[in-house]
Amino acid sequence: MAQLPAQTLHRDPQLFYWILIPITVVMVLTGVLRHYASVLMTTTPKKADIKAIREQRALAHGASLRTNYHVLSRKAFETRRDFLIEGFESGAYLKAPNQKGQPPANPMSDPNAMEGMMGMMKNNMAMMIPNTLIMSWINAFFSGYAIMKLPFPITIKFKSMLQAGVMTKDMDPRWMSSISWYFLCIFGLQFVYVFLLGSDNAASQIAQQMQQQQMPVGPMAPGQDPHKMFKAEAENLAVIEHYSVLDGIEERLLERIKV
Amino acid sequence: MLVPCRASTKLHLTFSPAPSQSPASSHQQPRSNTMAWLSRPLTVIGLVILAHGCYSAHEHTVLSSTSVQHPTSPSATSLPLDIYIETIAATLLICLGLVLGSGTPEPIQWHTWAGKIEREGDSTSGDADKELRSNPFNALEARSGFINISKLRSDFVKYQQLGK
Amino acid sequence: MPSLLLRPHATLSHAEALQVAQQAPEFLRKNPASYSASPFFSLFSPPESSNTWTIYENLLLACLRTGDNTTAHQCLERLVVRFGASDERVTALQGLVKEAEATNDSELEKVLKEYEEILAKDNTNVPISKRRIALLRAMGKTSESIEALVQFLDFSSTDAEAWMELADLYLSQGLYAQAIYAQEEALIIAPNAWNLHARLGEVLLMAAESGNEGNPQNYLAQSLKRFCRSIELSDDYLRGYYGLKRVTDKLLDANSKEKKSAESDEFTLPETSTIEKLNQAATKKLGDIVRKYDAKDPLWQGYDAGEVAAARTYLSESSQKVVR
Repeated sequence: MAQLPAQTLHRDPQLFYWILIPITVVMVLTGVLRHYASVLMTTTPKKADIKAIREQRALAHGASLRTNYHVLSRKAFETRRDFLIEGFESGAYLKAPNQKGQPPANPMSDPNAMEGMMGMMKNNMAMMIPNTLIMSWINAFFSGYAIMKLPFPITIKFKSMLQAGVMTKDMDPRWMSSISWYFLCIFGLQFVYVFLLGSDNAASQIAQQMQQQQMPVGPMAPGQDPHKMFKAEAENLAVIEHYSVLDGIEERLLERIKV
Repeated sequence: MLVPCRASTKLHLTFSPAPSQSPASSHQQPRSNTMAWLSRPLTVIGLVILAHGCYSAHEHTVLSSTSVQHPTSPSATSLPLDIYIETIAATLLICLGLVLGSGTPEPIQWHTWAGKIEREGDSTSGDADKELRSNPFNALEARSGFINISKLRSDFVKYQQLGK
Repeated sequence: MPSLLLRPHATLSHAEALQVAQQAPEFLRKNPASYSASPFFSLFSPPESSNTWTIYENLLLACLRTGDNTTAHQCLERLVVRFGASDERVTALQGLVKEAEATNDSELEKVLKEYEEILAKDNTNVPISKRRIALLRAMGKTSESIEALVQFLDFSSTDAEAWMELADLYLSQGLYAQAIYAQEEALIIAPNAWNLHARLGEVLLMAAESGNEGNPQNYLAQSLKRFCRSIELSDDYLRGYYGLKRVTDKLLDANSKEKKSAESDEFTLPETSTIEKLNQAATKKLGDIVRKYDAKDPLWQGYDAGEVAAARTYLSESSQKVVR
């Protein structure tokens, strides 16, 4: 159990003041700038028109009948079911009833979809351009040296991440290069941005990406034929075997309140 | 406060429409108080014992690594049993203390929760939790979006005149 | 008491509304006129929550109701500063203030025109549509109001509030079957709302009592089931037990008279013994609730005083009947 003597490197303390702090400050300022830039660039989402809302709500109405049919009596349920199935199958709730059966339009030609894509492009550009600029700035000026030592031990796997740009094989992975500090800043400044700009700021890009991943696919995913969705919903409604929560409720209630 | 509670318990014994509800709720207050009183010291004692266990384990490893005789023998490197027991007991003690210290749980059954809202209303505003205390579906009957303000106004004028 | 400020305004009584309105100037003084979006700056001002704006809205309503127009305008101004004058909800509130300040029909007519202009520009504006419907109703044009509401529900069929309003409108016209249909739609959207179940039970009971359409026996059976469900969803629900007692009394009365007149096609009535048991349980429970409420048991003070009083009178009436 012969312990290796701890590696000691003598660094100029000026490294700390002239590299670490400038990088951090620049990162924070870029985040703030990016936030305001994206606030300027965002256009208010275009309001859906009444037909589209009607289509969506009708579908949601069918879905809620399908999940909550048990509050109704059999007759009441059957009236609603027949009515909705007829409406769904005839396409009465469609945004454009005469277009049913046609394949969904190419998203590229749809102006609404184009607008959404432009918005995404803008966001991505606002994220990419400053990042590339800063990275090249750091690479040009500060590459090739270790600037700080982490106060805790880490495994050798982190070497490639933390010592990017430093080609020393045997160095302890705790030593960190400036480019790795930059990466740490990207991931670690979330909370600073939240504190400075509010929780829904555009600078916390990673949180945004997470949200996009978790967001469930809406009832109207683009490129899907609404008429097919209505037909599927009608089929779902048709196969429901009805039971009512009101059947035999008197006995159930008596049993519960008498026990 | 005690008298109506006792009356209610008796009533439940004779009729008992809602099983054990009012007796339980009337006993909740004192029980949770004593538990809260007990939980602090329990947790603190548990933490102290746990710290002691950690310290013993640390001392043991330092001693066994510096002892030169049998540096690789298993008896020297493994911890003695009493440290294990101490750690586990301390953890259990802390758990117990924390569980006892937590307040009475909110009802998770829909009907008990709803019944509690109906029964207590927002009169128990002394509670620390600022959960909503009135029926969330009241809004559907109140229908603020469709409020008839001119009628309310004229009604209020009438009400004030009645008061005078 | 913040809980009073947060309750939907229409559930408040006149006295409570007055109490709320009197808190308004103090609330306006305590809170800043505008909020910064950055939490860094909000360190130096009281925190903003969604409740704050609910309270502003309720204060606005309460002030309008009690005739305190200047404070109402102050509340409205805060809302405009925060959300902008073009926000849908804020426009609806602005219209509401105009409605409240209108003194005669022609002014109301003008407000209605404004609503229609806004809707002509943007027909998806939900709050304004609702205001227009409510205004039509307030002006006595009930049939137009129903028509507008049906149109609104055609495009927004998942709005439980609107379905409830429709049920209320139909009920005011005595159209029980339609009212029941609208109530059931609201229940599909909020299946566990115990007050909606009780409300539907009440409507069914009214329909049975009016007795001019449909099968009263059938209505009574359904009403019984709805009240049972509302109690099942909420223990110690005064309104549910009150309705249960009413409907079982009626059923027992009818049973003794005419011995199961017609088998209802949809829901069969339970055995008479079950109805009797339910009736007894409801009587006991109502007595229980009234006693505990009167004894100022701190855990039983959430009931509405009016509802408890109604239960008390009904209990004493029915016990007199039994004694006779």
